[in-house]
Amino acid sequence: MVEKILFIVFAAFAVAGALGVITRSNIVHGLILLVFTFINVAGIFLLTQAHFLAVIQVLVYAGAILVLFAFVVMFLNLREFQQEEQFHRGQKWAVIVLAPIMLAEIIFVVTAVTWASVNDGFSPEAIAAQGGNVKVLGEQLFTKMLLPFEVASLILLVGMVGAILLAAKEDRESVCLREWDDDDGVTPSLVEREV
Amino acid sequence: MNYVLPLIPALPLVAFVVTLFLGKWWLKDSAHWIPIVAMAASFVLSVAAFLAIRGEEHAIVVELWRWIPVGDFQVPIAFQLDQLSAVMLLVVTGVGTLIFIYSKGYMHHDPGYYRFFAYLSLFAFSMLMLVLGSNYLLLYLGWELVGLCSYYLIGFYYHKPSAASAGKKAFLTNRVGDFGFGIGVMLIFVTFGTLDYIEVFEKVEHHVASEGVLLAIGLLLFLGAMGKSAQFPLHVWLPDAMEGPTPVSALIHAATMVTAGVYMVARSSVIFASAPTAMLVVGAVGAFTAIFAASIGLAQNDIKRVMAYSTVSQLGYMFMALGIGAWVAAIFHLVTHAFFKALLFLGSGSVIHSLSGEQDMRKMGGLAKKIPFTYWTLMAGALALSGIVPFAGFWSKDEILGMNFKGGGYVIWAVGLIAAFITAFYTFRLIFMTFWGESRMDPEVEKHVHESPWSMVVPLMVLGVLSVFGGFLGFPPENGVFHKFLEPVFHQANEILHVEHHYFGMLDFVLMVVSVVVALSGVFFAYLFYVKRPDELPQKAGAVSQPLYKAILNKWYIDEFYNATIIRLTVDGSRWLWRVVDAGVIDGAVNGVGRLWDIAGRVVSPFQTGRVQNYAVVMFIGLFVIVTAVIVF
Amino acid sequence: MAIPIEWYLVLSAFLFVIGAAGVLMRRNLFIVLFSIELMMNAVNINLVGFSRLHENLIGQNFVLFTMTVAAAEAAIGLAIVTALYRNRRTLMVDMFDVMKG
Repeated sequence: MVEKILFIVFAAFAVAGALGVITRSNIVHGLILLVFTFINVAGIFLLTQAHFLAVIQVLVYAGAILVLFAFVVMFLNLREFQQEEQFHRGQKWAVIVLAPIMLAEIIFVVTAVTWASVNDGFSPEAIAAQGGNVKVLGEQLFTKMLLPFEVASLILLVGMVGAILLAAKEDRESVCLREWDDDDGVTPSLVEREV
Repeated sequence: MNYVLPLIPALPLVAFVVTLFLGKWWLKDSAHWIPIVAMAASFVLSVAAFLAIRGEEHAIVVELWRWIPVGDFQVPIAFQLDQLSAVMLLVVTGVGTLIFIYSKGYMHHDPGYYRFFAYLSLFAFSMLMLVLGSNYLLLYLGWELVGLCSYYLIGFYYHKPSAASAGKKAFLTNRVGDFGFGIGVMLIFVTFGTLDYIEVFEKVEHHVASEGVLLAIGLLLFLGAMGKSAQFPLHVWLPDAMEGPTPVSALIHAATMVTAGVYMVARSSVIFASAPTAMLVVGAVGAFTAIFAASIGLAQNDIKRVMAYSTVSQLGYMFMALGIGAWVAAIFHLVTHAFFKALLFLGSGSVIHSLSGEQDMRKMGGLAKKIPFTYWTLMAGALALSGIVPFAGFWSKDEILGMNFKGGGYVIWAVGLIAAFITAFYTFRLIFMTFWGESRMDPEVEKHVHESPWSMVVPLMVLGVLSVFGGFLGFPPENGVFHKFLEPVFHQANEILHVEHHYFGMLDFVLMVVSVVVALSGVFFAYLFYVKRPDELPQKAGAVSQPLYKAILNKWYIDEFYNATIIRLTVDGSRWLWRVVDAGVIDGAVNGVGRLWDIAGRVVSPFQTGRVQNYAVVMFIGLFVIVTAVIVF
Repeated sequence: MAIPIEWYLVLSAFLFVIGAAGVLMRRNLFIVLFSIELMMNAVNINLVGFSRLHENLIGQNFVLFTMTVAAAEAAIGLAIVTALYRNRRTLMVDMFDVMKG
């Protein structure tokens, strides 16, 4: 019973935070609200006995990834964008109308289906008996899931290299770059730029 | 013979290729040697061929390779040597050699010297292919090739608009005839399943085809002959073809190419003999053309145009002969005509050459003393053309007239006789206006009058001798050497026609006298008109028959008639097609399709905003629709 | 007394639709990236919920990989953001429309 109440509280906070993220015009506010949402999601993970994931959610997601966001936000001077229109004018209404209906439809489908448990034997009690969530999960990750795990590391490596390549300032002698014109719709042209 | 026969056309072909590719930069002013030597060699080989075929019953066929082997449609490149092709070979290579030599002098200093000889060689090759081919498709090939060469050579002075359009006119007029010829060849194949002469004629003899089909084939073939041999109403191109250089007029448009039609009808003698109606048409068209063209020749003032109409008229005589089944007489006239008409043309060329290009007879006169060689040789040709005893033209022409009379074609005979009178008249009108009487030349031109170089005079003299004595080949009439020689070729056709053998008799002698008297009277009237009283009689005659004279002067308005009907119709129709169908419908459709996509692009391109979120929203809407549809249904 | 799976799914649906709405409505590239993170979290909740329902750990393992991808995506996305900002001095998504037809 307590679980259910906690779930509803966490869920309500998460949804409220999410709504805040997409409505706030201040990016920093949005970022904070996103962290808030993620922490609530981590709470829901805890309620589900996914202890490791809950920790990771806070550490990696709310910690690392969102701090990265925060850094970039700080690097760029984003204050000027707050004065601008934050929503697409026409599109906004389409989404405001359609999104709730879509949500209703999903909820309708989700509740209309009878979900049967497969029960593979990893009930929270069984996990606890084997030494806890973190141990069992780790064992699976490094045995059954070893190959995907290695691939995941590769993805991270590639992501890292890509990020560095994209964000680094070009220090080659001269590079052909597209000259972006601030005027809307002007065809870009190739220009020689000295760096 | 296996090696000699293919060499005869091959030599001029080699000459053509070599002269064309080396002429401009290497041979230049000596471009004439290779063609002349090749042509002379061809002539020697032709003599060898002639000697080999003399007295042979059957034709010699040399097959080189299968050209088109498609199922039942087998066409070989094969040469057939029989007496008819031997005669044609001798005419083409013999007269050809002389004209080649003549061209060396006549075309001297022409910037297109090598080009001229290259074309002449190509023509010689084509004509020899035409004559030697052993089936109708090769005949057709040669036929088209000589037409092409004719086009090239008429338009030799292509920078002259009149020459260029004369070439086009010749080509287009010939197309009309060639269209018929082409269909005729197809019909032959459809009917007999082969195009080989010998096989076709055998099947005709065995009555494989009905007379109606044979009539159709005959008429279609004759349509081709009418185009190539300038018979009414397709004669209009030949006078204009005189825009070409004079040697071309002599070789192509007098001696050889225009006789291809006669050759073709004579070659198909078996087909024509089996379709009497076709023969009647051939004879009638020939007779009409003979008198029709002769009448136009009366009023022409251009020396070469007189010759041109004379050629048309003489070709008419040949068809007259073919129409009555006098095959040998037709070929005989073809040969003598080749001699004296080539001579006349070359002689006119010599006159024109000495007068620095003047062609109008009204601006000549009194030339006999100044260019005696030309005068005497031309005189021999004129006498031959007029049909005066014993010159070449007399024997052949008289034989044609005589055979028509004896064959019952009195009308045609009478027409031929009148035409002979007119022929004699205009021929000597030409002689008298050019060589006799007072000089009417430009003083500037007169100063430069000179006899032509030896290379031109020698061929003239050779042809002059042939024009004088050539007729004795066919003496006595209908039983001469010539007739005996050609007998095997026309044996089949004569059998079909049940021709009886005539011997020279009283009737023949009377007819001869009549035609000589007619010819002499023509000469006499010409003398009266143009030597005795040149200042009054022609004008008087013109005034008396004013409308007739005008009609003749304007060539019976045939060109105008064509212009007003066929050409006008074609041009207007084409213009309509251009303006309405092409510019309106087709261009409209093409542009319309283009515009459609342009409009479609303008309508659709705003959807591609370049903003990814727009696309995402559309995706979202699509997803929404699908989910909704899944739930609702 | 476990929490019914439907609850997870409903919560996931909320977060997902909110994230999608954010992606579609907002002009600011940062908020778009945030919204994508929201949608990923919705997926994670689903995975965890089903992991609980079926009583195995595959779902939780999968969440780890999702997080890996999310981390890579965030890194690349932010790199793109900085590159774009450097070149165009704006982060409003509808300004980037050179592919306009």
